[in-house]
Amino acid sequence: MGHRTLSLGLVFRALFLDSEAFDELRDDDNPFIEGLFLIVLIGLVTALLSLAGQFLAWASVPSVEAVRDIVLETLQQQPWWSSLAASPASLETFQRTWDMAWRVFPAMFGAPDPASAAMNLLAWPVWLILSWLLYSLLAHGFAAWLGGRGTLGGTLGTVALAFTPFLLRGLGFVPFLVVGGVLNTWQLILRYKAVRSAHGLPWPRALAATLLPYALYLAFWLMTSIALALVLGLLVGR
Amino acid sequence: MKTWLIDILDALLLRSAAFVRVAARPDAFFHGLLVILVVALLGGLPVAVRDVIDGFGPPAVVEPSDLRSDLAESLAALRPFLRIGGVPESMLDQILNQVEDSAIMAGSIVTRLQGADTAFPRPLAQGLMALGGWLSKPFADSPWPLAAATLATWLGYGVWVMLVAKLMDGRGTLHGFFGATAYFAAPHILTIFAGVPGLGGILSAVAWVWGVVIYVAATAASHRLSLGRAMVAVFVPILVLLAVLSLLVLPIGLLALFSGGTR
Repeated sequence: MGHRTLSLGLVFRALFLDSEAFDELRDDDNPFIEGLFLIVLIGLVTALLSLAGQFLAWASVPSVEAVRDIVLETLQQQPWWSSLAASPASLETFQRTWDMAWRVFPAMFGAPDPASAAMNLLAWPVWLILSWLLYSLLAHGFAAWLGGRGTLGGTLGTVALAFTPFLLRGLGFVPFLVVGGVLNTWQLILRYKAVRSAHGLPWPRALAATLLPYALYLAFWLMTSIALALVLGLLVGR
Repeated sequence: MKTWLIDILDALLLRSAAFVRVAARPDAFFHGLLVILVVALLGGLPVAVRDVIDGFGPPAVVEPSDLRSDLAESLAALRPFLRIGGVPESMLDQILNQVEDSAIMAGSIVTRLQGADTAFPRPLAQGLMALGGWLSKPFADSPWPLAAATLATWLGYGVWVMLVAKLMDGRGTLHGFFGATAYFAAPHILTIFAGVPGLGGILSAVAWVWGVVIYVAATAASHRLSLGRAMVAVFVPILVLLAVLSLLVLPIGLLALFSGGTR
């Protein structure tokens, strides 16, 4: 059984940009295991807290069915409704569109849904692990290419600490609280510190190694979008 | 706590010693985070308290007649834009009437939703909504860089300023820079008066300008740059952003102008 470096104090020190916290995890005897444990814990704890928030939010707003009935009754009071109702074909089209819209809109507009939030207990840890592994591998590759001397285990450990801003998602236990995109910026700053700590690179190279995986993601999504657009264009044009 | 308040006061008075002191602290980032959180939450407190109190009253009712009179001015202001957009004169009234009808319908839906049953009693449900909205304040977006005491502008704009400062041989650390620049949020405590008619807008503008001046001074102190170089570091990102936006928007505007002119 190896020495355990990870602690709540270390997590908070990393969250608040303490470089030594990253160095400590880098120098652990098994930073990969420590990182994996941290990532799973972040995913589970935040999902659990968000589930509590979703339940409170669900109990604070009218049910989706009640909202749907109110909107429909209001539409039926509009002057144009009588002409729509007079045509069975138009009414059937409306009903079809209406039913489909109410299957999509509540989730799209963030209606509280404890059932979906419960699924996050599985989805968030899995998504975080995949995101952590992919980013760590890419960042390690780019850092090594730029002259970094770090190990893959060290990169995995320090990058795991860069996921700590996701803990703020745990504030989701307060219903209707919106944390927003600041977590991504915070995480980017921590990823830079993680790569720099793991590889001991000067700041311009550490910054490049931090950002190059994002450039690769962007290139991948652009190419996928273009390929999809071409396929769709071919299918429609047939 | 006393030292903290003295530092904030010194920062408000642009005494560079305050920025140097906080930048040298190992917990500078946490210190800065606290400044943003406290200011954002205090600024949002009056609205949160009003919302909680409203929760104990009857549901709000949006009267169609009130909405119609409120809308009249907005619709009148919309008319010239529709003309510029090339909408034929004969269709203007029809479109504006449809907009008005839709707004009144939305008002009616909101009124009925306010009175709809919830699992929690109304005061508790409204209180939770007010709490969530209030605690979201530090995480909100800022309409312009440094225009509000939020984490998004502090970190989001800060990374660009940090990069430019480093390129200009700035010697600050990440945690020191963010700790010092967080004081830009201190004047935004004035947003506590945002609801005062006439005064709110002026105070917000004063807070913004004051905050930007503090931000420049903090950048200079934390990176050991001259004030002139710090100003370049602070304003280059916004100038680049404006240049990129104008490169994107200008061709679209010219295209719209010429396509409208050929009709």
